[in-house]
Amino acid sequence: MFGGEGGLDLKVLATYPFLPEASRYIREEGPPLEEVLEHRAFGNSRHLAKEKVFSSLESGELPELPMSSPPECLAALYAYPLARILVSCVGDPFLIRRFSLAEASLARRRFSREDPAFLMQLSQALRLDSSIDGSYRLHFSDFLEATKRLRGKEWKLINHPVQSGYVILSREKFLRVLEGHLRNRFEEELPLEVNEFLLEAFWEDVAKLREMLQERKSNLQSTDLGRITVANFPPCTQGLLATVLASENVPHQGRFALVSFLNNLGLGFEEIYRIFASVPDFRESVTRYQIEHITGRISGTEYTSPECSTMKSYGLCPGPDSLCQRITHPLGYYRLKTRTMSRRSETGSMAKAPTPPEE
Amino acid sequence: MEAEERVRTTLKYLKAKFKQYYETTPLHLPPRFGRREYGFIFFDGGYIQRHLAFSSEADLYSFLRSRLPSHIYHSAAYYENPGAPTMGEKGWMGADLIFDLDADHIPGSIGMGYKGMLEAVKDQVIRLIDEFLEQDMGFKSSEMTISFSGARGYHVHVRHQKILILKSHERREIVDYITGTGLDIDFIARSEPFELKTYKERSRTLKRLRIPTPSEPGWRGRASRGILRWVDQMSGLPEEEALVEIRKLEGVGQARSAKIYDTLFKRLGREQALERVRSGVLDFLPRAGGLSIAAQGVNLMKGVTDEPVTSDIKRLIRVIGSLHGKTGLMVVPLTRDQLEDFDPLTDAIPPIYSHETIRVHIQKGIETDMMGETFNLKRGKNRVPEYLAIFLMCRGMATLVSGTHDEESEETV
Ligand code: SF4
Repeated sequence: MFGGEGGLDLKVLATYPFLPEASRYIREEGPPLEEVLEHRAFGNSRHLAKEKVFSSLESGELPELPMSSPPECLAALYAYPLARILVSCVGDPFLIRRFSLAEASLARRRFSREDPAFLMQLSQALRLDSSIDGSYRLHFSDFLEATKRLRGKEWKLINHPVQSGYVILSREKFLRVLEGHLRNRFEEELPLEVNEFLLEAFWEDVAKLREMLQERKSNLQSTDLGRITVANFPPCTQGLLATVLASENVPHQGRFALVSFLNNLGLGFEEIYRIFASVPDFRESVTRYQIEHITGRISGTEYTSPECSTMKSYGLCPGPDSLCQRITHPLGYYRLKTRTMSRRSETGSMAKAPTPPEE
Repeated sequence: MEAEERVRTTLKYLKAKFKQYYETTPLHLPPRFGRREYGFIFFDGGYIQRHLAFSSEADLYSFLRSRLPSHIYHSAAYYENPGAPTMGEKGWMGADLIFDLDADHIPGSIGMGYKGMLEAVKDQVIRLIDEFLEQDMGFKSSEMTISFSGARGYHVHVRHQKILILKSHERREIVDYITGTGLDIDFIARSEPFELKTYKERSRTLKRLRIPTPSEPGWRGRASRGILRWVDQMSGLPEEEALVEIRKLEGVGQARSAKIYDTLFKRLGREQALERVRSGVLDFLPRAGGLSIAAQGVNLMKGVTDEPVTSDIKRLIRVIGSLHGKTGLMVVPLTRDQLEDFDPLTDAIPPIYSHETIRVHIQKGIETDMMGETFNLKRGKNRVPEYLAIFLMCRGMATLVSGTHDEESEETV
């Protein structure tokens, strides 16, 4: 749909490599991926792909790629699937989120330079039910899906004009919605299946990325929470804390689980508030209220953090590790791990972990 | 002893009736029948039995006829393995969008009586369908299945390709939309500068409150219509009463209510006041008063629906055409047009229930309407038409008096 008569516009495909037309081109017309992975002629593509992944992890922003000649366009086009393969080889959920976010926000920057009619073509190619007449119109279910992680009144459906199934949006909002849609889609699609051949091709970068991720994690684990040892957290709350500290959106249930967990470990309102306040785009009022509520500052009732089965049903359990097999509550995990660790280190100075609540 | 015996014969009677019903009346089974989970509650009490799947409708019917459940449900969702015991193994594929309106959720429904309550719920379900589902969300009548719930409310099942895959959070947004939850008043009423006043080299901008016009899409137009309705209501009241109502607005006290009343109905007059509102201005009122009125306009237009039912994507919902075990009434499929004249206490009575009278023992005096007739029943033994007897027995308000041997015996409770 974006090229005339057989000749697809390569530049469009390279700019928006996530379009179905782009993958069709790679599948049917361009050189096969295997070749791109191995052949010297595609060294540039591989280089761009790595750059994408590394900078998404480091800065969260993707560089603009040169696209002034057909070879440059081809390199940029192939950099997209290659980067996704690399991310999939690493397979780390945090990297997947960072990469998806960065790739989606790059797309938004590019969308913002397009005229309305072309933008419409793009959004329809993304299978969004949209149209334009003066303002942008998008089917409300597409809107809900794309904005499911944006909180705040300005993103609630009710605060938009809705007519015969369509939400009426300003251009600025429409672009944000496209970005949200892409981000969700990327995250859902990754990781792709990888095989030995691919792992082989990227092994050096995979190792380097893993190392960086590990480093980030140990930085996190030594995050100073006073008496509490983050390294002893179960995978679920450790992941939630990491997400919060990376200024990423945590769904309501997740915030509840984390705050109540920290609170049950003995952290008070002030301490928990300080952790959250260190997050750059921390929305003061909402979170402050939530923390006050959960820690019982408002009502006097403290909440008990949810047990594993509840965590699982909210999709907050990233998959149990071996220690998880022996417990039914995240607090139990912390207690067990703290006990074994302190026995091992023989210092005995570890904090006494609270007992999990009666179930 | 005797009471126990009566309960037993009552149950036996109801089971026979339900059996006869299911032998003669087809259910309205949902599309993707085989991908749904089914759940049942039985007369003998106990828990809901769920996680059942049927590969053919015939299998379901033979299950019904042999096990005689008192309540029958299917999942709003469809699954890869609907019969799997846990949600994880089921493999969720999508779910209808369900709305449930029950008398319990209608403000002020207590004290209306059964009939009055049912009318109030019906008004709300009509608003839900016309204003929200059709007008705003654009669903076609062919994409909506409406039913009377068999007790005190109505269900709407929406099956539109694009909404089937929405998850809980997105569905909750839809509920918030309908119930007016989280509406930002700035989205409705905004102050805008309209005049620059300069006085001795000092300038001051005058602001006025702009509100939407009635025909705007979504909640803006709806709020405007709400404000109009409120002004209209106030204009119909004697001054004293109107002042009491106006004082009920948030942030409006004695002085302000008098000012609002004077501006609306003395300075402007009803027609002019309505005209100003229609044109989208509320500048003739003190700003705070205007905002309170805008908020009140929103309040008047809030829709009603039960939040957990819509946002739970694994919920079970009553099968249309089945009997409600707590009333003996049918879960009746309805079109939007049929809804208008639908009278549950006549139209939801299964045709197999007869008009012949049978003898029941009534626990507590009760007055009720059924089949267009009013029954005033006293505690103790009564002869009532079978359809009423079944209704009362299902509700646990009566037991069957079997045979004749206890005709003269003393009543014991
Ligand atoms: S099993 Fe329990 S403790 Fe372990 S990760 Fe899952 S929710 Fe957390």
